[in-house]
Amino acid sequence: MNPEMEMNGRDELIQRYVDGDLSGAELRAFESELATSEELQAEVAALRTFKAALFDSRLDIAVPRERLEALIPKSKAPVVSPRSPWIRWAFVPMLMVLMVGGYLRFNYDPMNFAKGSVVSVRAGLTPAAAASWVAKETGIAAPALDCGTSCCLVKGECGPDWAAYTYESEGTEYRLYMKQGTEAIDNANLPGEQVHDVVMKSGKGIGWSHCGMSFYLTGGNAADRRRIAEMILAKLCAVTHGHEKH
Amino acid sequence: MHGLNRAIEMFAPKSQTHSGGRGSFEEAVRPHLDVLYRVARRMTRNAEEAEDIVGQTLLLGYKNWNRFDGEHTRSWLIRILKNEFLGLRRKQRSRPEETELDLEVGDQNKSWTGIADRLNSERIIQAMEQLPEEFRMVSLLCDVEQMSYEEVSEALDIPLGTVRSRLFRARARLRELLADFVAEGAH
Repeated sequence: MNPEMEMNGRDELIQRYVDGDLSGAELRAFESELATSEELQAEVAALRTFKAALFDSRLDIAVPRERLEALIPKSKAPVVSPRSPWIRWAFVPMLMVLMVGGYLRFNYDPMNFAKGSVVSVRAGLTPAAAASWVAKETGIAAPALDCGTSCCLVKGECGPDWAAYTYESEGTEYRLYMKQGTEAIDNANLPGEQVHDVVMKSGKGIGWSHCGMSFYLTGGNAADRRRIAEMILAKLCAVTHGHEKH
Repeated sequence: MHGLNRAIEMFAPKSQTHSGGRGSFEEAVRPHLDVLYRVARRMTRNAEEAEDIVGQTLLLGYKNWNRFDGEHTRSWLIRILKNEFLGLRRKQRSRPEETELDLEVGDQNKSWTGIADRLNSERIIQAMEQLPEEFRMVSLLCDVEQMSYEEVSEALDIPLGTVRSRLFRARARLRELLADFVAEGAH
């Protein structure tokens, strides 16, 4: 056990590793130790089994699904309140401020495209419909990625030159941002076709570039993000490289 | 880019339609009903009370839907649920106060091996019931509902560092309690 691990508390490090909370030097140090220590490997495996048992314990509670569904307040038709003319006109300068603010914010930091001004949002799309919608709105050939069997597309968003899909997997939301060009990744000195932890203003995520596009995945914990990002990239590579060969 | 266009076709599932997100309250909350109910059950330890609290949570969420930014719906709903529960507790003065600010954890057992593979749900639930509420909630959300530290921090309105420290101590205490169960079972 190296001195750093001793200092930080071995037990806490094991837990943070299994929870996907380690990153950077801490993660590298832990993984290096893990590769050589059978005792540590056994502890990690045991904690994973322990967590799986806790996760399974949720099944002991029977959920009265129908009664809960009935508790959801039903949406009413939107009520449009009459506004006086001066309020209506006040929206014009407000809108202009928002548009200029959004533009400046977007251009201030290319890495922050995730928070760039939103042009359009659509819910209830199939991945194929989302891809076609994004292509129509922005001209971006954003792939309609299905990130796994238990993952579903919740909504699509478009900015002036970016698109994002929000997926949900077992109650956790993941957002995949896509942008034409690789400058967002290059700014962080990340080579393409390999996923990297990226810290943007919008939070921690995983970034990579592929075929002249930048991808950035947020949401969930670091381990799940990495797993999903690697799976998406592998699928992209399999398709694009396979195509080039033919 | 031609390859990516082909990827569009390959990755598109044939018939998967999901609505939700910020659009409709009903569609946004529906995927989280199970989690809300399970958390409410563990908080109240009572099925009827749990349904009441979930109902109140949904009503309050619906009223505030226009003010919600649409990010992390699950954390947002659990925060409302927790506040409803605490409000209810304050009204029910007759109930003993359970919340403790500290959790004593012994030094004797610091290993997960030998415990993890001998657990069953009943034992786990019994052990979790023995944790002080603040610790039980963090373990419940992180381990049982598999929420990230960030989501738990948002749901319980506590700093990330507090999520970590409460989770580590809750698990350490659970490990002790479950080790006792395992030892009892062996005799």
